Amino acid sequence: MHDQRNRRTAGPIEWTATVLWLATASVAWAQPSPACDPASEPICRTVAQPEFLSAYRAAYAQTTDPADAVDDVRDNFRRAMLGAGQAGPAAVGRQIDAILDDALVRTQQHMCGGAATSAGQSPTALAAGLAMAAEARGTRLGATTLGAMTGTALGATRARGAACLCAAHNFSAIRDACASSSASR
Amino acid sequence: MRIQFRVTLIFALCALAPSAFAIDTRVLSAADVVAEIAATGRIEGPATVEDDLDLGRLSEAAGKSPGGMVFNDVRFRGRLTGAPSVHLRIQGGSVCRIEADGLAWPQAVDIRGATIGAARFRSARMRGAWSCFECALCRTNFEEVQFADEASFTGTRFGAATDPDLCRESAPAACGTANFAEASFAATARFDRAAFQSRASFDGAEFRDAARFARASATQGMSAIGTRFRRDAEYRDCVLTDAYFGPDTRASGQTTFEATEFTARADFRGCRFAGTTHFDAAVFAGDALFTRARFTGPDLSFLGVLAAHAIDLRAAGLSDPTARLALDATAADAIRLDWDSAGDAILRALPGLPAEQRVSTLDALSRTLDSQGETRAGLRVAFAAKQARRDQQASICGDDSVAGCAAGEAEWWLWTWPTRNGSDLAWPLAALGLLWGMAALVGLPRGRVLAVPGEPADGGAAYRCVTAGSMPDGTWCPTGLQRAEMAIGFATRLVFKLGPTQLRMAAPTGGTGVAATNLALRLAWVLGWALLGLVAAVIAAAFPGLRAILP
Repeated sequence: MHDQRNRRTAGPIEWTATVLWLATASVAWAQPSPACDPASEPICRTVAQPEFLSAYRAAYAQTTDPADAVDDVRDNFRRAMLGAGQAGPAAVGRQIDAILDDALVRTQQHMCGGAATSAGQSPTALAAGLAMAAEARGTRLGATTLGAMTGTALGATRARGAACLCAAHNFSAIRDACASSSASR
Repeated sequence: MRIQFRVTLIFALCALAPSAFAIDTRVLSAADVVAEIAATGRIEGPATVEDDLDLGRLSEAAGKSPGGMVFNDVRFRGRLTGAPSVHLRIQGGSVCRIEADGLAWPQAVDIRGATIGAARFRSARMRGAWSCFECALCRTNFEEVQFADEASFTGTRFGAATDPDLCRESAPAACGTANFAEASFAATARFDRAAFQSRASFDGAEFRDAARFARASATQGMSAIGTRFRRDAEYRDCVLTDAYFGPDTRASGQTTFEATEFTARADFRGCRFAGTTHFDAAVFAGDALFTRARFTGPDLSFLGVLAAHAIDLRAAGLSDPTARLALDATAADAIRLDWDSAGDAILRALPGLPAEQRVSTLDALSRTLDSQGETRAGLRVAFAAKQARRDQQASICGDDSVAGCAAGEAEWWLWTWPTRNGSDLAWPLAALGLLWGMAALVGLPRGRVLAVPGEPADGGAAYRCVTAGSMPDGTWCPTGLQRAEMAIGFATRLVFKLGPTQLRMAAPTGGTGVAATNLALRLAWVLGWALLGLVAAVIAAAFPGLRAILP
């Protein structure tokens, strides 16, 4: 009797917490996890690192707008280049544009072939594209930075699917190619 | 009954009052906005606009309205695009997103107290004055923007979390970096009291006129690497966490990164720096003022700094007991600091320097401190330099001749090491105390110290013991408390050359014992002189007022 008096039904706090938890869990469930064969590619060792995965997941969950994603990836790149003293003498923004366009081409070569690409391959393809394009210009990306950049870029494709990356002719064009139809300009 | 009626009436009036005074929020379509702007040039709120608006087309509707377009307390829940060709004024209210990448805004913009979800102006050209006074912005991208006139963000909060109801669609999920990278400010840039609640980037930006960041705060990191401040950079009383005015790390052999340049005064007086603070490779062509600054983080670095004038860190405080203040030789040449507050932090950072740079850095710092009148600190740093130099030598003598090596070793062991190059009296004073204590203890047993009558002919040579045969008449042996008093007196005379001259050590029986005692007393006498000389030399070398007295 005493126990029954003290028992209370779920209140608004409990309901809100449950809804938030479900929302978070659904985002985590929906995001593609990087799939890779460790023996085949060096990038697989990077995408398997916990730092990469945690940065990737956090960035993926936070990003919805493709235009925001392009800005954030460029900012991450600038940070990686300048923080390590690797920036060239001038116009870092243009260098970043060139690297990101190159990265997109490399990603598209992996992702946008004839055969359909599984969801798990897109993070690896994008991470590989970013890492290789950066290394080609003397910039080495750490696992955390690479994870954040990959998660940001793929988070923005949530509305249309990762295949929208194949429609972009350069990295900035991801804004339009991957924008949800109502927001497209 | 009447009272009940009155109470009911009051309650009814209170309940109706808000609705009676409430001002209805108008919901306007894009067509409504165009019509109203065409008619009056302004929209008075509270009003909500759900549609996207093209500011360029809206400007055409405003025509040649002298006041331009005014939006007072209007909530734009869609996107604002295009470039207004008339003066744009937004007072209060909110904007979900302004998107003007690559556009030229020819007229002045005046935004006050508005909340903006995302302001995207990458590579835009602002030809008129820009003002965003006490705004709240979540996402900010002014990368590569050219401000041709004054740009003011006074009291604005960047990275401010937004109301989920701000946008027709989803509001920005995360605010990201407040991005001013490679922006160009042709006139004064005002960020006074601005609060960067997300990371701020001014990397590669150019401030051609004064850059004002007085009392600005950046709690999630501020990066200004490769930034050029052509006039005064005013950061007075700022609060910065993880401030990078130079790169975090330098790739090996990397020399092509852009250095941050302060062409005129760099004023960081009274700032509070938390986390990591890097000014690596910065160029200070004017005064670099860090007076009264507080550094609470573990790392402060001025490696590779080039300074035409002094880098003034006087009265600055490093509150972290493990803080490291990294300098190299060029920075050490220019720095001015209070050794007592920053000295330990500098010495802690030394192991982080490449071995070949340590000696030159310490030498430069020693010279700088000496020239600033911090003689003792200069000597202490010179000791650290000598120690580092010895540590780096492959062999003790290196390329020196035997005589030179011996002289060097003697100097090291007799002067440099015990006195910390003349900066520290602790070792000589401790040795004097120990010698005195031992002499007193040796003289304490009964019959060890004797008092001879009269004034001795040798003037009080305490280093000579007396044998039973050579004792003059009247020689007496103290007892009780007098024995301790005389042992102390004898030790004082032997070591410090002060005190009674009549006290002598009694020689033990046997010739060998006499010789050995005399030798020990002689050694103690000479050692006392040597230590007194060492103390005098340290005082002469490091006493602050002595230079003023001596010619």
